[in-house]
Amino acid sequence: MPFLLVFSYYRLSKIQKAKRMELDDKELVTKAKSGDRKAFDELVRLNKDKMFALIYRMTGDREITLDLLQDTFFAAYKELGGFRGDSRFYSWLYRIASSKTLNYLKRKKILSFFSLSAGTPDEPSYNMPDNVGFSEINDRLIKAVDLLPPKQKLIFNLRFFDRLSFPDIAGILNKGESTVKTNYQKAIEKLQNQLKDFR
Amino acid sequence: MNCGELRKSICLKMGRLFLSQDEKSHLDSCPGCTKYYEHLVSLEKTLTVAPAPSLTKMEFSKLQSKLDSRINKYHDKALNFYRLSFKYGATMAAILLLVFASFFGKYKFQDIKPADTDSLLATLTIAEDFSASGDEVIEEPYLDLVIDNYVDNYGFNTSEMLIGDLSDEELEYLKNKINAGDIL
Ligand SMILES: [Zn+2]
Repeated sequence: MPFLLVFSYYRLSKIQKAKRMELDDKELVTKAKSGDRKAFDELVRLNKDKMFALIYRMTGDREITLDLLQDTFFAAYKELGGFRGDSRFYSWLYRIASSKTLNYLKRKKILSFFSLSAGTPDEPSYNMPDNVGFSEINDRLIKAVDLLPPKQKLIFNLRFFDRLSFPDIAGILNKGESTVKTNYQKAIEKLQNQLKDFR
Repeated sequence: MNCGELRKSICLKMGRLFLSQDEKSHLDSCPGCTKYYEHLVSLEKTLTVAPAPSLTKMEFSKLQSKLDSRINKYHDKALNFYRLSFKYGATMAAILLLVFASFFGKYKFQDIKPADTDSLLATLTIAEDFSASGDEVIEEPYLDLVIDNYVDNYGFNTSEMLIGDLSDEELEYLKNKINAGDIL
């Protein structure tokens, strides 16, 4: 019985925390919209790690991630007036970050196609500790994730690591929910194939 | 629930794998799906070993200062635009007045003192100075435009194409565009 009480208290506090965060977000957005720079800075601070993780997992390069992160927040600042608040602020940021990152990857792919950029491979974006016996599997998985087509990789990241729902991801990418699901499933299957030999 | 449905369902739960009662009872009676499930569990574990990447303190302060200066520049640019329109507005009004004066009263135009012309010229010079200032922020919409254009013209219809990587046709198209000097 006491365990149940503790558990329900824990759940309640979690829900309250989530609600409070949502309120904070809304309040900050309203203030930032009216020109309060401190409120905008706070929105940046609250969302920086989420956005950094997503972009870094997509690009595997810290410097480029910082540039894209800067682009993302600058675009958010400029377009804040157009944010209606139908979705959560972070969803809107995810949308901006996703499009900036995909554009970067498209550009990079085209440049590499013309061999204009030096072919230095990026550091792997999924650094994993070198546990004995794990490293070979990890290496393969890192490569497999990096080899996913950009939008599939994005869907995989948004779902697997950022824990967004399929409807949210569909909204961010402006795609149908079934398309998003199919792509997630395909990404998982590709990754799973890399583990087959280790079964 | 058949094997295909079950596998699709648990595949979509990757990242937060938990089983419903239906799925549990299917697994109890199906060794093939049990193997599939265990495989997913180990994949999930392997992928979540690493901590989420995050910014260092130094990187964050670098981001803050760069963002700050970019936002300030953006505001300066907007302010310059207003100043510029005010200056040009004043210049235009002066020119109109001059034209008006020369058109309707030739004798009065000849009466304008050299000092007045000088001040008018000074206004023009200041306006030109402002047009030279202001940092140009170059956005890069070309690539999207070209790709969107391609989608419109050649209409890839399947979600696979849109969601997937650039196809050979897209690359070929972009290559031609780039060679023609349309982008980059
Ligand atoms: Zn089965």
